[in-house]
Amino acid sequence: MLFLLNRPEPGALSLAAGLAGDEDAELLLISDGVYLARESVFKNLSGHDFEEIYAEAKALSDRGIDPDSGCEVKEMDEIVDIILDNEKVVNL
Amino acid sequence: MATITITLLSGAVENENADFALRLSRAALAKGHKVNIFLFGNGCNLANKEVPYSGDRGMNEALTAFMDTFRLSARLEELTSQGAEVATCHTTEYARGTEGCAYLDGVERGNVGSSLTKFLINSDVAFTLG
Repeated sequence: MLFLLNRPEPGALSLAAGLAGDEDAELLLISDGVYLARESVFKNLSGHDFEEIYAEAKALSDRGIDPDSGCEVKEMDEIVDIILDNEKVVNL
Repeated sequence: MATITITLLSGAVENENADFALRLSRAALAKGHKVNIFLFGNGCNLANKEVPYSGDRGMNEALTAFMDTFRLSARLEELTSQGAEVATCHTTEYARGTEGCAYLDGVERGNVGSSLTKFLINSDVAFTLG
């Protein structure tokens, strides 16, 4: 299950575990959500047990953000594949 | 080929959701997938033809160029020309007083009960952006 987060509010992620249940959960940071990819705050996401954490490349570039090494930067054509692979997508 | 349905709740300027949805749709179409977009809530504000203002706008070139980056009409029409299906919710249009406004090329008047339902039952992945 893929979760989308478009704002820099990690509190919204508390819903993810309950919604995902037994399914693997992945997180895609988009828009202002990519501020959570910064090295200084990325560690705050580690407690949410996401299998992968992605950030959209253009959103990072537009904001001049250099993401933490644990965050995978994805172009839009790759995001299409991630969405289809997950089959279930929830916008938090 | 898969089918992706996006229910878009945001208009053009209030956040980046509409821009993200259109860029995602373009990428999906380029990869040979099918895309449906349902314009719901403020998303229905994307559905209509622009109405140019003929007077002195009072905006310099720099401001005009910046604001032009938020205008999505041409990009939405480009998607429909490439096969994306785009429908609105006429009830949310009614609430905003835009129900009678002309639609962009390829955008269809719709509703939750039939348009969105048809999109959803024919989708491999469906999600909301708002």
